[in-house]
Amino acid sequence: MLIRIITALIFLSVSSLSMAELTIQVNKGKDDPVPIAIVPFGWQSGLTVAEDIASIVESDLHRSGQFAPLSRSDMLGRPRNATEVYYRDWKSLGVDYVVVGTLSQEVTGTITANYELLDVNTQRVILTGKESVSIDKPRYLAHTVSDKIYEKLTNIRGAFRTQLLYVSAVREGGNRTRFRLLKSDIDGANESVLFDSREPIMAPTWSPDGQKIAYVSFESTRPAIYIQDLRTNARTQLTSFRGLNGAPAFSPDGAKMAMVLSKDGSPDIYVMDLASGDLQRVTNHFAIDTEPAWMPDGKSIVFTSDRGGKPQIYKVNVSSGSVERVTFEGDYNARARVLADGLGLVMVHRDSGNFHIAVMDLKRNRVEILTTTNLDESPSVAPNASMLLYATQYDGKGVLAAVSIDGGVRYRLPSRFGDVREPAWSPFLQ
Amino acid sequence: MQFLKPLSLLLPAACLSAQLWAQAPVVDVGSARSDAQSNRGMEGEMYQQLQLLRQEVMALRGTVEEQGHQLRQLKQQSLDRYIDIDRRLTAGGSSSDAMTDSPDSLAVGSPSEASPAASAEGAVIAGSTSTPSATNETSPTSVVLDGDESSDYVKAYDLVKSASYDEAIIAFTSYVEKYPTGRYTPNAWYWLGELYVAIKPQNLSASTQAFQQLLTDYPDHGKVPAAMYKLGTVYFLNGDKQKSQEMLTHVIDRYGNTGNSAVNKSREFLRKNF
Repeated sequence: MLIRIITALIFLSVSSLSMAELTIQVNKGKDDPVPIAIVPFGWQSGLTVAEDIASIVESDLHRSGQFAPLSRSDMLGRPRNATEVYYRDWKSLGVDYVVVGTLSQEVTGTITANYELLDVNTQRVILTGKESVSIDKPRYLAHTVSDKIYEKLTNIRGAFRTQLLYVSAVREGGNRTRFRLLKSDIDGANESVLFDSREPIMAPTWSPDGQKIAYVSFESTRPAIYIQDLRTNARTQLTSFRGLNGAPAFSPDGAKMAMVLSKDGSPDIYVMDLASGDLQRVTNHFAIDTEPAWMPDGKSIVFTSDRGGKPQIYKVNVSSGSVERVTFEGDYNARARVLADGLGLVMVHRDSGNFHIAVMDLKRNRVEILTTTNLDESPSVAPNASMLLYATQYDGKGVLAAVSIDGGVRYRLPSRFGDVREPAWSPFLQ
Repeated sequence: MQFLKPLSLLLPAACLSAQLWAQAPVVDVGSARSDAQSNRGMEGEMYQQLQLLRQEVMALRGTVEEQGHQLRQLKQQSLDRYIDIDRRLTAGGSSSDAMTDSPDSLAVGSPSEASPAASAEGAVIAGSTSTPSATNETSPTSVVLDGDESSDYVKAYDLVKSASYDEAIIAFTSYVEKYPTGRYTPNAWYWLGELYVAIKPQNLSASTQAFQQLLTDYPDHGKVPAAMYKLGTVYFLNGDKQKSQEMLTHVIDRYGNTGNSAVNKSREFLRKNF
């Protein structure tokens, strides 16, 4: 499917706090990316903004794989609004769309972006927008503009304002390792530590409203599930049963938590009502049942089980407990995550001895391998199902990588913190 | 990979219990109570057998699941095959599979996939290279339309497929005369529009007329965006650049949000030629 590979290195100037570089490797997909020009935004005199808004928009759109932004050095002019645009110039550069805008301060402590999206072929303004944010959140402003443009041109809700959870492990002297649970913007910027520990942290996951997270921590030397409120940072221990306490997953309505417990013998899937604490055993088998993920309707859960001798994905109806097998292709399918529309799932799939991320169409039962790297694990899908994040190895280190759901674009997200793994893409926020 | 973690966590537990069993007889070696020893040895053996049985059951379950899946697939396949044969039989013609398939693919597919003249540029190439071979030798069908609505359409469409463009024009022309409000009449107009550009010499005014007929008579038909795009390119070939640009811009405006392939083609054409 991937015939030619075009590799582009983009060096972004981002604040010192965020990552230093983002490597984007675009593999030509089915459709040509749409040529678009994001003209650097004009400034109101006296206003200082810590970020280059247009360049963030540019990198957002580029990362989606659906757009090919025009290099700034190729631009023939720097119009700041539609009346300053000479369509002929942009047409000669082969650009389909142009984005122009200006930044101003209308209310103290905020910045406002007025921007326009122009269709070069019809010579018309097709989107006029105005966004205001607090002055210390210029990146958020840029991602908002990206979302609006993306939505206008693709009819798919943009996911540039989403966030990401992941776990890092840094070796320290004396055979000790420090584990950190981190949160960042989806482009890797604004990295912050939510929790750190000398014991492993695993399986971070978001609540559907994006205000809480859950994860497994070994801080008491035994695995236990914790819930952390992102606004207050308050942590509550949800479980500490004998044996395994793992793989928490909030139900789509946020009222229940699916998890893996081995308190009654072998690991099985349980569902806990978060308000009452009532526990329901959903699967009961002497094989290992693990890695639950809810179907969007909240009525069934997909999970990994080796009850058939090899790890495969199964689906269980939460109320009836009836189980059916979902995957039949290949001898290893695990760690499924369901797409928001429920029509597909992504999973770890072993193909000729290598672990790749694959997407499965649940209607046609077709499996398509998306990644070319080895030892790929922990896929996590964007809320608009356009891309997914996963963990892989690069230069002997654990890194996070992203791939579009059609396999057309891939990029890596480096982190300042040693080995990183277990990415969790947030739902739409706010 | 994540899957391995619970496994690895479970393994020590499993090993631990196995060790307990294995150690038990060793502890008892010193004592003279051989019956207890043999008892425990038995338990150990039972445990091992249980493990083996579990593995066996799991492997069998896997096989049963996979065979069940294969059975379902086979059932579905034979059902599909039956339906297909049934459809051909009831259609009662040798060319019936083309009849059931082609109108659908014509109605929804992009023009370039099914068409001999992928685009205006393509048409020129197709016209110059493939028309010489477009003689009667490959088409046993006569141009006389004597069947019913569907089979007549299929007959005409078969001529397109065998690149007998001149005969196809005659066939489609008689089709639209015979069935002025037929089920496939909009498709026939579309093909006429395409064919008049594909033949040599091109008949641009006839092509324009055919496309316009489709646009006025069937403004909501699925072929309309493609026909508008094609008409735009025909205007261009005719030297009417302004009309061409208007038409293509209209396609983008009207269908820009539908993801119709004619939109991207219009964009591409505008970018290349204006």
